[in-house]
Amino acid sequence: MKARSDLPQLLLLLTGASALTALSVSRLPPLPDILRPPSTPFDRSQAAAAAADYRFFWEAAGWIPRGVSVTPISEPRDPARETTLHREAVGLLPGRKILPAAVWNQPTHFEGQADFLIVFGPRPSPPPGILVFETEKGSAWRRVRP
Amino acid sequence: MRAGYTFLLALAGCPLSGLPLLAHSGFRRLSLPCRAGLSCAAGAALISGWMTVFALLGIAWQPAVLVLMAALVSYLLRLLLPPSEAAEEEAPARESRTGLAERLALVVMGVSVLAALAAAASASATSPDLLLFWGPKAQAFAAARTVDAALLREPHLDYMHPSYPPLVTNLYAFASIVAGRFAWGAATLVFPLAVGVLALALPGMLRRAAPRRIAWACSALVVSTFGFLGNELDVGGNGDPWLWVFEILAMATLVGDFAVTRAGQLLAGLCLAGAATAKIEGLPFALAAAAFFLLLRSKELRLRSAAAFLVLPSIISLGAWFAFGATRRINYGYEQSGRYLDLHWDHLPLVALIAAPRKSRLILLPLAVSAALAAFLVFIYLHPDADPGMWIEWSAGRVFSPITALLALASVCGRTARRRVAPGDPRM
Repeated sequence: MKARSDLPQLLLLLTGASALTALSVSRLPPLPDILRPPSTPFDRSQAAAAAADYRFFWEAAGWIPRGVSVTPISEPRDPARETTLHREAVGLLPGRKILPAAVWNQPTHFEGQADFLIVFGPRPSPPPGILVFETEKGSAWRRVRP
Repeated sequence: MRAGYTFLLALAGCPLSGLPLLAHSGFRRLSLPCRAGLSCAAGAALISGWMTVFALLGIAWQPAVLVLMAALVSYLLRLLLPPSEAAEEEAPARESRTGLAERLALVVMGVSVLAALAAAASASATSPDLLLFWGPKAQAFAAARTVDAALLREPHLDYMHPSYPPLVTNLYAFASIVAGRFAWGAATLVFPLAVGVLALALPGMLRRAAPRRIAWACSALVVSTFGFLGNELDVGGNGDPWLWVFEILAMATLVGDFAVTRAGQLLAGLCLAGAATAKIEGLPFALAAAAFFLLLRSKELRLRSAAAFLVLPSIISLGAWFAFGATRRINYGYEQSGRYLDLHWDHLPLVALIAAPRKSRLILLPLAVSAALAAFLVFIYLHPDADPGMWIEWSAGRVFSPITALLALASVCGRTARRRVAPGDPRM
C-alpha cells in the first residue's frame, strides 16, 4: 500500500506558522518606537494607564526614605482608584510600609497613620503636611505629627 | 540598565544547572540546541525546587549555593539512568541535507522570536500582573532572601494569592538578588526568552515523534503561535511564558519514542514539576499528562519506575511549597480550590479510580465522556455575555455531579477478562 504523503500536513503547518508570524510582525509598533527605549515597561501595553503612575512613583521614591510608612491617595478621593494605587505602590516603593487608603474599593482611613502621603492629582486643601516633592501628576507630603 | 542586563544574565544559572544532566549520554540522541533548551527547563525546575526547600528549612538564599545545589542534583540524577540505555542512544545520525521545509521553519521561528523580542522591548506586551502580582512578590522575596511569610500573611495583600505556586517568583527573586534589585523591564523579556527556548528545543524533541520536516514545521507553528499570542495577550513578565516552556516540552517528550527511556521520563518529570510549580493550572496539566501517558503507553513501559520518574519531582517541589505554607500557617492548599486537606466525600469515586488494581483501555469510555460533559458545561457557562457567577453557584454542584459517578464506573473497567459470547449462549 502506498504511504500517505505528508505534504498536505507540511503545507498546513508551514502556512499557519508563516501567517501567525506575519500577524505578530504586523501588530508591532512602528520601527522608530521599537528602537527608542520606553520610559516604563507599560508604555504601549494594555496597561498603558499604569505607565503614568509608574513614572510618578519612580520619581517619588527618590524623595521618600526607606523604612517609613506611605499611603498613596487620589485627589479628588476615589476608593477604586486608591485601591489600584495601593497595589502599584507595593511594587514600586520597596522598603517602605505601604498603608492602603482603600482595599477592594472600600476606604480604610489608614492614611491618618502614614508618615508620608503621595497625592495623585491636584494639591489637597488644606495641605496634609510639608511638601517634599511635586510634579504635574501630583505631590508627596511628609506628615507633621502634633 | 545594568541591573536589567545582570537580571537576565542571572537567569543563565538555569541552563548551567540543567547541563550536567543533559550532558549524560542518555540524551546524546538529541541535538545540541535541543539539549541546550531542555537544560534551561530542567535547571529552572531544580533551582526553584531548592529555593522552596531552603525557604522551608529556614536557610537564606545565596544564588551561588542554589546553582551549585541544583547542578549537583542534576549530576546525581544521571545515576538513575541505566548505562544500557545510554548505549542504545547513539549520537544523532547525520541526516540528509537540510531541506527547504526545515529552512523555512527555521526562518519563521527566528522571525517569531525577534518579533516577540521587539514587542517586549518596546513595552507593547507587558502584563499588568507584573506590577500587581509577580514583581512585588519577587521583590519582597529577594529582599528577605527567602519566601516572605510576613508578606503572604498580610491581609491587605490577599489579592496576591498567598498560596500561588512559587517557581516564577522564586526565579525572579533569584535574578533580583544577583542584580541588586528587581528589574521590571528585564522581567518582560522572559517572554521572548521562553519563545526562544521553545525554538531551540522543540525541533529536536519532536524529531523523536515525527519525520524531520514535519517536526520542524510543527515546531514553527508552536513557536509562532506563542509569539503571536504573547504579544496579543500581553504576557511579558507574568507566569505564562514559563508555563508554556514546561508544558510544551513535557508533552513533546511524552508523545515521542524518547518517553519510553528513563532519560525521557526523568526529563518529562522535571518539566511537569516546573509546570506544577509555575502556575495553578500547571498541576492539573501535570496530573493529566502523567496519568494519560501511563495509561496509553502502559505496554511500552515499566509502569512503577515510569510513574516515579514522572510524578516524584512534582511531589517533592510542590510538597515543599505546601509544607512551607502549612508550617508558616499561611495556607493549606490553594485558596482558589479550598483546603486540600479537608475531606470532600464526593472525591471518593476519584480515589476508587486511582486505587483500582487493573485498568483496561475501556476506562477511556467513562473518562472521555466525563471530559466531554465537563467541557460542554464549561462552554454553556462561559458562552453567554451575562456574568454567570450566580448561575454557576446555583447549579454547578448539581450538573457536574454525574461526573463523580462516571469516575466510580471507570474504576471497575478491566475487572473482568474480555469474553467472546457466542450467539445462543445463555449468558447473552
